[in-house]
Amino acid sequence: MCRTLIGKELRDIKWKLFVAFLVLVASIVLMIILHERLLELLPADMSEIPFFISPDMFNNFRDFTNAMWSNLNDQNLPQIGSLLAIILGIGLLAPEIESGTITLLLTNGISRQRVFWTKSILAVGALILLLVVVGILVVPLSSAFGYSLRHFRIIPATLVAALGIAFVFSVSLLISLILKERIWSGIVSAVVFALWSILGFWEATRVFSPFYHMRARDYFYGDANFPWLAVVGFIAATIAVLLVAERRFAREEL
Amino acid sequence: MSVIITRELSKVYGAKQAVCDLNLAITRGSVFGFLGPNGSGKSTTVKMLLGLRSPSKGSAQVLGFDSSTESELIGQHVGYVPELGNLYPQLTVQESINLVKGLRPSWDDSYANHLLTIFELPDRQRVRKLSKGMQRQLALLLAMAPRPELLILDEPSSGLDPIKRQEFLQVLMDGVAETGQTVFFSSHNMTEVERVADTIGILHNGRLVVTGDLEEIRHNVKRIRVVMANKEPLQLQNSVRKIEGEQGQRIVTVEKGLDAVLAELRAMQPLVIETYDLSLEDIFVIYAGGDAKCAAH
Repeated sequence: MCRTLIGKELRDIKWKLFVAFLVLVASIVLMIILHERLLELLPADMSEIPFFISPDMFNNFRDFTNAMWSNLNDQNLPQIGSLLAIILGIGLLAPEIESGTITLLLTNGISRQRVFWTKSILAVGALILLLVVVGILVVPLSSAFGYSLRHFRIIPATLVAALGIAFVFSVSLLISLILKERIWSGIVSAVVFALWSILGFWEATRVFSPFYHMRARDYFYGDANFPWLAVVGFIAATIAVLLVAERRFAREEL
Repeated sequence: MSVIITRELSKVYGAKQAVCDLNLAITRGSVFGFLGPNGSGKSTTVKMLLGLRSPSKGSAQVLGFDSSTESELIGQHVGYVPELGNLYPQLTVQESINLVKGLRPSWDDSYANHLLTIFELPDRQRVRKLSKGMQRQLALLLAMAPRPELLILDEPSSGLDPIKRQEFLQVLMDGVAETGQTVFFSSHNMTEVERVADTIGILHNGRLVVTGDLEEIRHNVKRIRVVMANKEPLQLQNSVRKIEGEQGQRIVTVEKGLDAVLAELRAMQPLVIETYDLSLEDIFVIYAGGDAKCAAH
């Protein structure tokens, strides 16, 4: 790691992280504020709910803790978090290679490995930290509006989501190093993960979708233990993809 | 002692041979002008020296470090000004200085401030708002302030107006005179190379067609105007680079053995025989005007 480079990188990504943080916190606050209002709108009898709302969703709306998980871990974190991960991934090295600014670092005595790992570790670390902080903030924010959570599994579940999103980051970074162009890298990454998420729609295939594992649904509902396998899987997959990306960057002709 | 040594350094892009069997030895303390037309392979060579691109064949050593495996060490001892900007547009002048200063332990603050004053760079201005000339000056400041043993400049003054170019070269030469740095100066601008370089190499179609001491090359490469009484083709025993002209007047371009060629011509009892000195630009055209090609690989 290189301290000077860390300072520069933090400066480069701080606004992206800040905006994502604000959006996620705003979505939590909005969900808390609107919770009572949504309850009033729900029909009393399950037979009256529209066909596209499952009984699970219906129950999620009624229970505050479930509603928060449904809002954050089932929806906003995988979506907004993945979008942020793609933005960070494609913006990490490809634009610097494209514009030639990377040579300023490489011709001043920093190795490609050091540049790659300093940037990647910092981005992954900041991403995970931001998402976990958001998960933790659910507790005080709920209290501030007079609600309390029945249990705090939302916080460990957020860690699983954050690790899954780190995996999205690593794949986007690799795609950007292959395509070497920011806009196309963003489009391709988004399409890849949109298609990948489709696997989560069916029970037979959902185990192959990273988004299914990110949600840690069974753990949250108390139907399963903490998903260590998903955690180890996400960490291993992220490291593996980053190693491939680092090899790619080491061979890059600048 | 040589600070840059290349051995059969070559680079191939698909079917195009960008650099072909380049053998260079640049001695410490010299200012080496690396000349060549656009697209002749100068920038590719520079990038291979810095380890930014890997050679297809051959090797390069810079300050004793292998450019393919020790580029990090090369970067710690070299100052580099690229042809195209490598500055972060979002940073201010001062932030750019702080960034490079943090990477280079040998950074000389007083020299950096001296250059900042000479160039009149506004330290709070963002790089994107600087004129092209100022951006080049900042790039030179960032390359020179760590007091590197070797400066590698790739078309450093391209896009500068004549006044800025003069200033730029003056600062460069002052710095070199003060520290005895070695300079590898790639350019296609003959005037500036003539002003700063003591040795040159001319690259054409990826091949090094001539290299050596500039004064020696100037001394050896001459044009001789000969007017003969007869109009028969001129046949010489001595090797010459080119014979041009028709009727009685011939222009003979010589690259070595001037005295022998003159003696041979005088023996033919010409009506007129005159020797002309050539400018670097003339010499460049002589060497870069041919059709040097790489052998097929």
